[in-house]
Amino acid sequence: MKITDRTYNKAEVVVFRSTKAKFGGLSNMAGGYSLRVNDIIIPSAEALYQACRYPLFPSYQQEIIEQNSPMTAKMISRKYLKYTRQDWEVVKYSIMYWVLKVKLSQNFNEFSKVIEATQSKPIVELSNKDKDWAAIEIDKNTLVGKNALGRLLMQLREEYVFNNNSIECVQPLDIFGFLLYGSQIETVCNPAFEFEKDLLFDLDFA
Amino acid sequence: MERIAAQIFEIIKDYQCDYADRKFEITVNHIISWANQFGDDAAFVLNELLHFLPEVYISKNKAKDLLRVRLLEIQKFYGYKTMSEMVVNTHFFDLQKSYKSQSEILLIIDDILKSEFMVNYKDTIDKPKKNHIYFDDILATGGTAYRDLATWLEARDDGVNANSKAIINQTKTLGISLFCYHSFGFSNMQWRLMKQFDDKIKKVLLVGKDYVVENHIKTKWIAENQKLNCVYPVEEQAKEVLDYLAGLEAENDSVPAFRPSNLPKKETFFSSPENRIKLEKIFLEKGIELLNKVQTENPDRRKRPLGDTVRSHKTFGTGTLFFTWRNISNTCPLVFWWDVPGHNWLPLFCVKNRGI
Repeated sequence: MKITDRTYNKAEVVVFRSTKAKFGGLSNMAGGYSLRVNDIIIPSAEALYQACRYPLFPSYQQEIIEQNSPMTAKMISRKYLKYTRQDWEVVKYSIMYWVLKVKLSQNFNEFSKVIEATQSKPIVELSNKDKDWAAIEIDKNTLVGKNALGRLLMQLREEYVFNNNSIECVQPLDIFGFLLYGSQIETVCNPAFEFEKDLLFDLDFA
Repeated sequence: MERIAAQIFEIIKDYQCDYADRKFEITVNHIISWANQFGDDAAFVLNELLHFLPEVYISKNKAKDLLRVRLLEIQKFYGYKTMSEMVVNTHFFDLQKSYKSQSEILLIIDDILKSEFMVNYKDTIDKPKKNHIYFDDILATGGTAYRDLATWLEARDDGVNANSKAIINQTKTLGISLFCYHSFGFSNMQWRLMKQFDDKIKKVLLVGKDYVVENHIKTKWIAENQKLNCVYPVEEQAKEVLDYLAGLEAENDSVPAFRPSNLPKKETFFSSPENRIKLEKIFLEKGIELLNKVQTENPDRRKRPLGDTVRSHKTFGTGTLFFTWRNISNTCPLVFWWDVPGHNWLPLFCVKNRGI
């Protein structure tokens, strides 16, 4: 997937950067949006995304996932960049969208609220230097960059949040070697669905 | 065989078959009678049982030792100078029905505290406490612990805020103490508490355990590092066994019914990989045979040959191989506890009131 730079008028967009600010929940670094894939609890969207870089190296994935801090998870991932899957540049946007769908599915109430609060405005992640995932400020009023994360969040908003379409289950991506801890990533369902269907345990006999 | 049975008897002799309408006592002869139901495999079953039983049977004396150590750990962890100070500040949950294990564990704790530390925890039982400990014997699917902890976390002991808030902001503490938990069930409990209350629950929930049944095998990497110290059969099974699984009314087939045949990587629980396979087959086939005797239109969907499990899980059962003196868990393979009139099966362990 190839995407090109876009230019945004800062006054007309929702900008997010710090996880502590109003729209911080949009960031993959935000805490409180844990995920669970293949029965593995993953503390943040960032950790899951970074783990997907290294499908053939489960020990690196585990090291990334075991970090409570998303920033630390990203830093650990940087140690292993040379082991990144070879088609990463081709698949990374699809993988990120899958991660965001899992984040929304498993944290629908909180995450959809943050996304909904952006109304219909463009969503832009602000960065000092990342023109790929985010946009950078080139003057007081203008942001330029591919803003890939912001654009995927807008797509998510369009497909699921505006329609109040909570995602019951997210299918795995149809790409080669979509692995977590050495096993194919399976369909991931939202906790409400799991709890309602007693997929984890029976409470009437507990 | 008698020698092996006698050794097994020495381990399980304090198992509580002490209720009025019991059908048998735990004796060497009873153990032999149980084994003989496996026909030519009788001696093999006893040998294998003796191999792992010392590690997984908690006698009442052992339970007392473990609980004494746990109380001292709790005192040290919280930094109280004396046990009395710890007890004044710590609440022991008494949430389960009287016939469940929690009540009996609390009796032992009461005894330890009174006889060894001269403390009666009931003296201050109604006073507000900072720390809260949930004792239980075995966490298998995680349902019981989840339900009890969630009920308390939702409650408002101070009349204003949910207890979960105090646990998250760490003005109160919450701990769970178990003789044994199953890694898969524990993870399920954690996940549901996280999603219902706050992700931080995972971090602030204090856990004390003496043994882990490592049965979390969804992913290869994790599975390769699990002991699989339970009954978890391989896929190569008789047609009747595979037919049984195919016929189960259970919608969740994402829980693996079989372990990969190359796991565990190193056999540390059974006497050998071959003997593991053999015993698993024996328990599985006999369990199916017993279940086939059930004549009811609506059989309990949790009842599986290798022990009760979650209704929705398309598996042969939990396969627990961990036993305590007080009452066998229904998540253990049926051969250990199945006792139904007319089914012509003598269980190894008598089953106390399950509250049915």
